[in-house]
Amino acid sequence: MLELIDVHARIGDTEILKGVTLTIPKGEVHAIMGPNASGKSTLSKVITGHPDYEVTSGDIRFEGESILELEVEERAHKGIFMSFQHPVEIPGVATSVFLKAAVNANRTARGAEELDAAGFLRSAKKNMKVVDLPKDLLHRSLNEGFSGGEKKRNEIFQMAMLEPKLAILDEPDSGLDVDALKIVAEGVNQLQTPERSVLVITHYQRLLDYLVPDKTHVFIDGRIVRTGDAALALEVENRGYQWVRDELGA
Amino acid sequence: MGRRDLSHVDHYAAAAAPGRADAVERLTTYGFPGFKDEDWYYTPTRRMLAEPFVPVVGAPRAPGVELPAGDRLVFVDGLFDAAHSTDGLGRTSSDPTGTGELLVDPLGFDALNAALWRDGAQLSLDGGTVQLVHVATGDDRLGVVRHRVHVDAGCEATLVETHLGHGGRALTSDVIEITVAEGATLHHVVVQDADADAAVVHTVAVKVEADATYRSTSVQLGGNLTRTELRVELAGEGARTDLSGLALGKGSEHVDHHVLIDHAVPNGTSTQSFRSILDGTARSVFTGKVIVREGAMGTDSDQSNRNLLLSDDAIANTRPQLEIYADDVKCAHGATIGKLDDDALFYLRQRGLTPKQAQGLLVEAFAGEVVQTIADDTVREVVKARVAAHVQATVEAQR
Repeated sequence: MLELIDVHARIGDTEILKGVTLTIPKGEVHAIMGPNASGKSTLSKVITGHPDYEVTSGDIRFEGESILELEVEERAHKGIFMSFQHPVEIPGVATSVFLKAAVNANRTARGAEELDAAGFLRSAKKNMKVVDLPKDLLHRSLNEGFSGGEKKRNEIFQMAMLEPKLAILDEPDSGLDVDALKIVAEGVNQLQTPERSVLVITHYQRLLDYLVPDKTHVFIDGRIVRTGDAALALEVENRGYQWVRDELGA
Repeated sequence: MGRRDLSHVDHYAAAAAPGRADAVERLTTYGFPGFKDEDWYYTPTRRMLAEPFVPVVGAPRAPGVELPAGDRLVFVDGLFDAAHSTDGLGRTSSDPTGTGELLVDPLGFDALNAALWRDGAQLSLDGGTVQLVHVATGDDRLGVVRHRVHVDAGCEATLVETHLGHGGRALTSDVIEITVAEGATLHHVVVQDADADAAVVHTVAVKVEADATYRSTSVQLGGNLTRTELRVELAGEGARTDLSGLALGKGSEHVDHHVLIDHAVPNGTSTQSFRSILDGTARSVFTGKVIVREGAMGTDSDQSNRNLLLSDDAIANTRPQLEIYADDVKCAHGATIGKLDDDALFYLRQRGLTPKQAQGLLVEAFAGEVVQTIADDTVREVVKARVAAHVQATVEAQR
């Protein structure tokens, strides 16, 4: 599904990704764990095509094709979705208006018919249940005045509506208590299909108790330095990142 | 019908209007304002006045545009158009009483108006919604119109003024004097959607009596030069005014909201919320002057001006001016000038929206917060659609 081949990327003059190689097959859940400022959020922005980041060498392939030359929205149309660590508040844009536009932009790009108002509402009501969101949220301005938990759940709700092939979850647990975290993780689990790949980026192992990865990667200083199964996450949790650094130094 | 004594003043009567000779004298003595006048510093009247305009006489032309639905009085190039006005709304009056009452010693464009106005509506409202529709048909025509509106004590009414146009260069001078009597509320909606080569200079002079409220939403969407002056006197205790405005400038358009709020007595409240959206080399001016007179204790005044620049060459000028001569008052103001939020654009594009769709959504939202201030559902939806069409056209025209 997704292949990163020795990807180097920078913002301005600062190199942040220093040779990332990663393959996520169809249907697998991969976790990336890393300390603050290791570049893991940059990774998600580079995959989704954020205009501030420049890939200086290497390649990113999605379903076998390089996506480096594609615009942000073109990558989205191919089925790449990112749940934001800090979802943007947009006053004056009702969640329903935004989401209907997004759903139909993707459908149009994929050659499908646009959803009408009734079809959209049916689909929205069904998907809001996945993450236990109140219906009135559709009429509220996008993320404005939402609680931290509502914002994160709203991201997963959007994922459910957009049905991506690859979902990148950038710290979906940050700022959440255990109950909210469970709702988010279980929402993702409910949506999981053999066709969908998930890349979840997190500081903490806790989330991975509920969203169990097929593979765990440890990300330090712009690179993946260790890859293992779910047990690796536990080991990092118990021993800290310094342990990995020490081993690398040795 | 929620109104009474709804009449239009014909131009024969107007010929005898008080102050006409004086206005001519003042106009010829002082001329039109320009960059040397503080209140017109940023507004290029010279460009607009470079070629002459032609005063209009005789029967009005056909409007030639789609007119808003509802009870309305139509003025084409400043001339009353009975044929397109709602039957029974207008009756000819020989009584220009009250004109010039609120706007004394006029200068510049106000003097031009006082000197040359021919027709206008004289309304006494006790409820309902009335529309004043102005159409400029181009050909360098000068339309001069003057209205007098009174909202009866304790009543709530809506007045919608629309400026439309086609046919190129024209100048419309519209002066409206409004008295909101004790305990009454007027919802005033002004929409300027003139021809791209036309200019509209609009002065709204309002007197708000005790415990009365004047609410205004002014939307400037098109025109080579659009100036809306709102002069509101809070004349009675407990009077309130809420003014909001949206100016959308594209190409080389100039959009100007000029506010003067006079807190003359204690316990008045005023709010101002004005926004501009500018593309191309468009320019906006917002002047928000608040005077709190000696003794006007308990005054509460708030002002906000936000400007959104869609191009590097657009310019927004913002001028808060507070003159406070009383103690125990609350006066706040704030202004911002910025571009569309890159994080928001990225977010929307990541969800699959094209850059233009994303921009359109964000700009419409920015504009929408002003449109939301219109209380009447029907009027709001009409204005919203008009604004959306202009926003989409502006975004589409972006590189």
